[in-house]
Amino acid sequence: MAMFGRQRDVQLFNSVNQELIHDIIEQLVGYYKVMLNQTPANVYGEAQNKTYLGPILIPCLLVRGGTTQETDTFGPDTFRELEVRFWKDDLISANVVPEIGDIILWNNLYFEVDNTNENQLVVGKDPNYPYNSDVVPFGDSLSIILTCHLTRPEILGIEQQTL
Amino acid sequence: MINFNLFFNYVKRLERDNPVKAPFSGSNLISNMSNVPYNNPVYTQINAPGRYWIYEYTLAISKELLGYVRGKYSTVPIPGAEVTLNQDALITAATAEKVALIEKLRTELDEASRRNQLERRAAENVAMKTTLNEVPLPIFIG
Repeated sequence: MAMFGRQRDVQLFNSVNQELIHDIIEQLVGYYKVMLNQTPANVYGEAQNKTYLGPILIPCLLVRGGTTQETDTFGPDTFRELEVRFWKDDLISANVVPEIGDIILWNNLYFEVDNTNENQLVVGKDPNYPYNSDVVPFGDSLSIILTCHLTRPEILGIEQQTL
Repeated sequence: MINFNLFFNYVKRLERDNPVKAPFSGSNLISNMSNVPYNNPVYTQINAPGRYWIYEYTLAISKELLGYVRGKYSTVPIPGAEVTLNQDALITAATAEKVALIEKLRTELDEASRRNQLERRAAENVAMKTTLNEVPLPIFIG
């Protein structure tokens, strides 16, 4: 039986994360989720017009990339990457499963999710996949990290409404 | 008829000149450190400075314990990174506070000891004598 990484230790990590993310950093992003049942696809399986649900405000940590400009035959274009690090408990509370194609709203900028990465395990164990009855209550999957790129709201069909 | 208990202290003739004789005999006799009547003080009977000392020492112990708890995992994972906990700072501060509080208690108890009180009283007597010696004698004119 493993001595480290029991549920009490996981609770300690969770309390530190809760305090740090919710009370100290307090960084929020809006999360748009694609509604597949209201997003019709063409014969090729492509959806030209997507319908999104949201935004839902979720606390997170951000790693902001720099803005770069590229000019081609169609004119200048702006590129920017964003890494959004969610504490998994926040996603569970918000009932959100991140997937490629979802949209992140931050500072009135829209970012499309390119990749989701759930690979931060406390003491290297995920209690959802124990494969051994002794390690069931050990470890935890702590975070889901999304890699996103800047996109335009006109492409998404998301328009900001102001009163 | 009323019953009374009459107690009286007595000293044996052979022991009355013994300088190390205990003033009382019986079960209260202190023969070594093991039967010194140290009783646990009752908190409600402790005065304000004593309670403040207890408060500070409890705070130092709590700080030390929290330091040991945080020492089990010196770094705690957060999404995509990790934060370092302040175990070293807590234990260092708690140890220094405990040493200072023990030294403060020892100093205060030493200052309030019987010996120091007697020395202080002796110094007061000397000072009083000196003062009285300086008082001029009255002059009588016959």
